[in-house]
Amino acid sequence: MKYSVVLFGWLLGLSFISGQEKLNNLKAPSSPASSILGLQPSIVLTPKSYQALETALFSNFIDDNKVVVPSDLAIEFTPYWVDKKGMTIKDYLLPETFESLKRGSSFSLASTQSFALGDETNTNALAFGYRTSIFLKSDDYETYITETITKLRLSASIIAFINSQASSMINRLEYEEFIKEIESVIFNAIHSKLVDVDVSQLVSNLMTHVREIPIRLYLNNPDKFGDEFNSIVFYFFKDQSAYEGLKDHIKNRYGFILDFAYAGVLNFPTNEFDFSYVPKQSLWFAPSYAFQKKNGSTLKLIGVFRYEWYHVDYYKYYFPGNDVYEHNFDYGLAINSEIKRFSFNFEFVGRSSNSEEFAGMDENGNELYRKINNSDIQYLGSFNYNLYDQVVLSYTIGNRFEPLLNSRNTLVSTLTLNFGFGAPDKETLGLQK
Amino acid sequence: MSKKNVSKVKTYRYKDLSFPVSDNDDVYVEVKFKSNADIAATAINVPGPNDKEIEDSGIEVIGKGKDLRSEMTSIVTVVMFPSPVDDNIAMDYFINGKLIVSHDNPKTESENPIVVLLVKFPKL
Repeated sequence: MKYSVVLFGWLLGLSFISGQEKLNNLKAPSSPASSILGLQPSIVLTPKSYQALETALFSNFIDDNKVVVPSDLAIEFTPYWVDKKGMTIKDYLLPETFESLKRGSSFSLASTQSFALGDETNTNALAFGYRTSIFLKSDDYETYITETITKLRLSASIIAFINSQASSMINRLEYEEFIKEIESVIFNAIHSKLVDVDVSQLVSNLMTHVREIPIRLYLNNPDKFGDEFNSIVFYFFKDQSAYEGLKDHIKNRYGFILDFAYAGVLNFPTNEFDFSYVPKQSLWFAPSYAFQKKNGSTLKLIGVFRYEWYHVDYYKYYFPGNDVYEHNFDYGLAINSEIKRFSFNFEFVGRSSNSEEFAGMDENGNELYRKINNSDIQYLGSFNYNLYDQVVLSYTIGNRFEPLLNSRNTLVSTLTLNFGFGAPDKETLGLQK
Repeated sequence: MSKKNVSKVKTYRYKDLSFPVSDNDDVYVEVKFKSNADIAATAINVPGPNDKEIEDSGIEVIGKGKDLRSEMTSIVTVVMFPSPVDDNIAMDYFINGKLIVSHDNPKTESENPIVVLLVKFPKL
């Protein structure tokens, strides 16, 4: 598998760019384990069976009969889909809430040999993660899906009926006889399965296409003619609008979705397995609501909440001089919309951190602690215009978090031109299921 | 009618299939999808008027052995909407519980396969 991300940009106001799109960084990541380690692995293994999972673990974590921590490894495993066969489209698109939670459950594992401590020492680290999505279906969603599936089933039924009759006939009839008999088969199929249509007109239109087949029907070699006939019947009865509608819907589901993820890091500061810390854990919680696409326009509301917990003693010892808070909360709201080539995104993100610090002893010998707090907010609006496919002109304005230097300098106003060529996402990792 | 996407439809034929059966034995045809969430229909054209249809996966009695001898039986599956989950479209065909065809095609080859089985039922 290969993933690449290439992004070129002409940036005005370059110093502001690091503060942008904070909300995207807070969303539940596709691979929580890789995310908490800050890895962008070149290979993500996605075993589809327990045997493949076992092989992936054994071949990467065992070397010369010793347990090792592999460098830059990421594994994503979704147990629900192991050996899953023959699920119906309705079960797939209209799961019950608990079913949806099980289906979206994905376990991730990531490892690195380059987890740098404060003194630049590279150490081994493993990360474990879990994520899932819960989809809550609404009544109108269910109605839309049911109606669309019914339309596609009807098309499939007509096509299968006509083609099954034709498959027998091409093996025993000459061309003229075939044309005569198939016309009556088509008439009966339309008459019995479709209502409120001009049957004669439909039959006449289809037969015009059938008569235009450039290949001759030979009794000793009827298959080429049969293939062409099957295709013509398929496209004649295919409900293109229902087909494209369902495809688009699967890519951009509308309704309420709740993403949840957790990840934790296990660091071996001395590179020995008998001495480890859990320096950092994260929890993501992201509800979103996508409105039904209308005339190609989309509207989505997103909320995010991330809690990060740091092992303060670990950071004091291994990252001296860094200010690390024990509890860190990030939260945000966003609204984004796409109208043809134009899209906009407004987001508000806040963060709040706190820690307890040892402050001494009282006269009775009790330990005293003081609470340290820090908070900040950021709000941004961005406007994008797709000049061409993969070429986007963007303007962003707002107020960013206070930077370490020039803390009064929080205004964001940037104009960028971006070229993009794909990146690993939920779909490519097989998490879209 | 769009001819632009005609390459996506491909007919796969399994011809000269034979399933010996006694005169009074019932014949069952079963289609079992292995890929997930396809939308498909299978039509079974038997000699005489008792044609059958299966939605996605399912099983149908198509008649007694003696009623199926005069002509070939054609079993045609049309995959209208391909699996959004799997890379391949796959299904098994059984007659009286015995696997007779296992079809599997990658979606890159055809998203809308039309699978044709031509079966004779000679006397056992």
